Amino acid sequence: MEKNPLTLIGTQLVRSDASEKVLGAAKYVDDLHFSDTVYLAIRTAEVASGALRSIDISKARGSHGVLAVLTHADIPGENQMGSPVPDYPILLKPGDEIRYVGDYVAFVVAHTREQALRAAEKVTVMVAEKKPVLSLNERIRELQKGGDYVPAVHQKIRKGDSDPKTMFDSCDYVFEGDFFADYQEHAYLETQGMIALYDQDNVMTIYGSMQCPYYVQNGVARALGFPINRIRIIQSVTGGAFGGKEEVPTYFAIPAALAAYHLHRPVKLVLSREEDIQWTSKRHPIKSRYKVGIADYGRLRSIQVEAHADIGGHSTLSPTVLWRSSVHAAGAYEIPNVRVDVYGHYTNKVPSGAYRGFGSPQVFIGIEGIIDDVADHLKKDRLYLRKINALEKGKTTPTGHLLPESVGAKKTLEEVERLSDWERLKERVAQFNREHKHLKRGVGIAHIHYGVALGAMGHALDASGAFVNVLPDGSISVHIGGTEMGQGAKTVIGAIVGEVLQQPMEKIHVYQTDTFFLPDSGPTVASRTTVFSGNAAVLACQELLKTLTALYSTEMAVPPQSVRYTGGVFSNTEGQKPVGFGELAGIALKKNIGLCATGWFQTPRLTWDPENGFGEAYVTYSFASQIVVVEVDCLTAEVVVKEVYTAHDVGKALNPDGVIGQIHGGFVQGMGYALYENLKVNEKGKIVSDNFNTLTIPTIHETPEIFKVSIVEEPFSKGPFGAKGIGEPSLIPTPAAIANAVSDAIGKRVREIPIRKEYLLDLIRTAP
Amino acid sequence: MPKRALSFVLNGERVEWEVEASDTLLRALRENGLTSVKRGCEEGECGACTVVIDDEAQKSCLVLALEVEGKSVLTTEGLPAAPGKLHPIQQAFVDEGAVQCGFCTPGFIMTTYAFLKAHPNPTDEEIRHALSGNLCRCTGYLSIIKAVKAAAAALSNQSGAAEGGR
Amino acid sequence: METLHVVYPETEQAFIESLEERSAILNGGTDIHVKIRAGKWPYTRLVSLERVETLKGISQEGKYIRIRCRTTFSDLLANPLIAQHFPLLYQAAYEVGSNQIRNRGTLVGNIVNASPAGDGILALSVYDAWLEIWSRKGQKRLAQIHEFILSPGKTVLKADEFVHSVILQKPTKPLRALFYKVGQRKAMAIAIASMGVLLETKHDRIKEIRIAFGSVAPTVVRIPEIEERAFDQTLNEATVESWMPFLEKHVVPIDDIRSTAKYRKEVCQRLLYKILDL
Repeated sequence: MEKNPLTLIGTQLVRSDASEKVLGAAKYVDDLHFSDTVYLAIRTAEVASGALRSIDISKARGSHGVLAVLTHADIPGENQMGSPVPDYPILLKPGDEIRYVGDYVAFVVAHTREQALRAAEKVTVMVAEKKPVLSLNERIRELQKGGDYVPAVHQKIRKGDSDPKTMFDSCDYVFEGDFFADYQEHAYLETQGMIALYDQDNVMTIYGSMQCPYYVQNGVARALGFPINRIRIIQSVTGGAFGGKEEVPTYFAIPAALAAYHLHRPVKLVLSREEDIQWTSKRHPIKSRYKVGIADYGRLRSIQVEAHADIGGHSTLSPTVLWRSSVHAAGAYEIPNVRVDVYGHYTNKVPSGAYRGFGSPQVFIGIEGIIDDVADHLKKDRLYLRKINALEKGKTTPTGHLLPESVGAKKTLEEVERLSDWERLKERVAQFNREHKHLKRGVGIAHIHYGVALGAMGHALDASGAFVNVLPDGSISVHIGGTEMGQGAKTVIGAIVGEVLQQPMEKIHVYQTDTFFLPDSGPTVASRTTVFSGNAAVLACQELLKTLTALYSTEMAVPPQSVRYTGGVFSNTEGQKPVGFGELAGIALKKNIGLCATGWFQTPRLTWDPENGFGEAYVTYSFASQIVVVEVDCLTAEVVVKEVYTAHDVGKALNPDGVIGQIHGGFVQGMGYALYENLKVNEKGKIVSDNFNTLTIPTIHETPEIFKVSIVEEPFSKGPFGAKGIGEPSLIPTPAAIANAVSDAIGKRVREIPIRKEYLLDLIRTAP
Repeated sequence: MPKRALSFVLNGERVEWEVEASDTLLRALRENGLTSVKRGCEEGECGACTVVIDDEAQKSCLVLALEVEGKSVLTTEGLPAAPGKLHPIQQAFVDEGAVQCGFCTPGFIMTTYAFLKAHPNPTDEEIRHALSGNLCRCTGYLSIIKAVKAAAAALSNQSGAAEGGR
Repeated sequence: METLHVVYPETEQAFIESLEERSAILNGGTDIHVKIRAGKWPYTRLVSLERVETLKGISQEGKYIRIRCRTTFSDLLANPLIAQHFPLLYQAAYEVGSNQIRNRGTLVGNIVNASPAGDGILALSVYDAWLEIWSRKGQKRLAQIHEFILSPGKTVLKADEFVHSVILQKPTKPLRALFYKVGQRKAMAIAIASMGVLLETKHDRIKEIRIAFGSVAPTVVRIPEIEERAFDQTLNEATVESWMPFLEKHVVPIDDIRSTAKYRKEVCQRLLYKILDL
């Protein structure tokens, strides 16, 4: 079949779910109502560390409006929700260890949410309290003492000479530095929520806000002791996720499902903002130490990174997150000798977990800070130094991955140079600084790569399905295993289907994700949806075209090899005997021909040596470079971002407006992390900044006025139409770029994010 | 607890409701099916529950339902002139890519509605000042600024056309 | 939550009569609702001002301006008298909360809430505002803003009293005004520290200065030592630096969720340099 010019891919697309959202008609979980719904409240341990002695639910049970109080004894399946490490009981039983304040003790169900909350307070819990471990430093010291303390996670990379005694021998200069990146809260606008219904066919159906329905399905099946075929998860319209609705929604689906199981009534659990911030995962705080060796006038030769992450009370996804930290710790550069060790330590705090960037923004501040130190010391341009070390086709990454294609790294550097008018920008900023005494501007660069999809460590989960059904009227319904959470998956998948089937977007309906339709398609994470669900959709559509071509061939008596399909019309090679797609779909019905197909895309195999941490880490990499200009008020240590220039290699922008929307949003979220969002934990292990009055995310007022984007397209041969991912790379360079810009403005290296005013004022006061 | 009668104009139509004295307008609206009004923080920070009360943008979590007695309340549901026909502000949010997850969108639209009534030709600075009470975690706000400007242009064209017709 | 009882009087007289010992006035409610939800609100009876139209508005009475208690921050911004005569109050109102909060929150509500971070209080402090207090029995008295607020959340108001209006005297000469708030972010922020300054200079010499800080002591504080000594001093860096020790006695901040005492203390000193740009 011949190639048609693209009519949807790469064009300006209208977001397919935008109308229902502006009309207020989109139903998020709290907007769904079922008759006889009852409400759930969770009684947590409220103590960060200790042993649970006893639970007394008698008062709660007698409280007004209460229907049930569930404890560990009421779990029909396994009392466990920790995955992959089974360290997270659903409900604590007497004798169990309390690991953080949010560990569950009881679930209270009542006619109203207020009644349930009031009764939950009446559950009496006796605890033998222990002094909680709240400081990461305490754990690092324990490890350094060399006793029998074993960290929960240890991920490593070894490449070339990785012996710390010798690896820097051949270097001309060695640079060292410590860095720290603190928590970040996802702050999706819609809090977590679930509704569980246990009725028809003895199936537990759950509606909820989530990004990974299959995780929820598996978790609930395990808790209820049900076979997976009796758990059905339907994702409701989801109001933002950013990684925060990856592993976590399972922890709320389970209570709702347990209550629905016992009561045979719909059970709703929608968190208050405070509960959500108190109980749900955060970006890992990571402390890192960098040592970088340079040779040949600025070439990176050796790097040693030791990083320590606070994983909180349960390990959840930490092994995977910290594996990604290790892969990205040495930066997006070619370096012959690499030694990376990333440790994860338990503390008695909220579990850290998935968050857009997945352990990489915290380490990029280290490598990108050091690169600036190197450039400044060698008196070389900071952009130039990145260029000479950047990855290219045929070079190997710090894990030893030889890159065969789709390496737009250098191009993104050239693009930000062009966008920002680099030489003049530096002069403009210098001029501003000469004219101002207390206001100082600074320029910062960051250059990053990001491994798309789950990579060598998540290989077992890295496949996805799509189900495409053509109806007799020529309309097309699409089910995918990936989810729409605001990023635009429905629109891009619709465009892919429309492109392959040569049909307009209006004819295509991409459904909310429902586990009923497809095999476990893995999680909607790791910027993998466009590639994985997209490829699966392409495969399904290609199947359908085969069926339609055969049908046309039979009906019109045209040999199969002479069937032409162009502009949505089948014909013979001369363009005669035209039959439109819709018409042919109608014929198919009459001829008893099924027009549905499932596509299944599996990730290509990767060669990875887990023992030594070496090899092909991810199927492909997205690249980005970013330049920001900040203004620091040196009297108050207030910082605002004035200008942004950012270039992203996405392989191919299938929906360019969508890509730009991700880039804008990722930047501002990264800016919030770098400058404004201080999550405070008190001495009892409780988060005190638990609503938006103290957890201050950026408003429209903080958004930079000058924001220029360049999209670089170095196609990835295994991506749909050449696409890679953009969801996370939109955020990843920002904290590093801002930290570098602030450092530039004040003439002193910023080593911490968020860059708290209190910290920055100290730096300003002691700057040269 | 005895409920109390409440009478007000909702999206152009007079309604009579029974509410609890302690019900916020947010709760009362949601319980009566106006689910475009979102609960994001319930303490006046996120703006997802913004409605327009007598031409002013208000956070409905900070207003008691009984406080709107006799007043006019407008929500996103009430903007379309005909079912499914988007209001120019709604259309601008769609066209400019100002919608991602959509949870904050109805609140932004209502703040914009009241704002553009008072400032038909806003500057960037005015937009940033007027909309800083609505949080969005997805878009980075840049497309929202564009949408507000596009809506302002569409509305002034519309009113210009209406005047021209007279 | 305990049962909440709310009354909605429609006239000034009915409002005054509905005041009781254990009731609080709902005047906007942007602070009260947050406290109710957090379980930090002791009153179960509220008297709402929502329907008392006569208690809203700004009027000119000779050399005075009267701001009635139901006047919102948006009302202040919309009234040319405020922008013209009280630019610092205008600037503070401009930076209060968000658009929606300014549409609902009232200046008098901000005062009675008595937070050391109250933006409105800081502005009224430098203007030496008076508050007209009415009682249920029909008595009226005046209190100056400085004596009205005792400590965080505490005022001199008695149970049967309410603040009827704010009285401001129009300055007889033009004073340059600076309201500067340091928050966790620029917009929609609660002050970590804030400074209000009114200044008159002639040929670089200070003729009058009034200066106050917010969020750095139990109440908003004025710095009389600076105000007294500044007369005829040349406005330059050396002068500003010489004032720093005078903050010591008044700027006595604490650590809280938003910042540290150390930062607050230091930033107040440094904020003084902002006066040079005024």
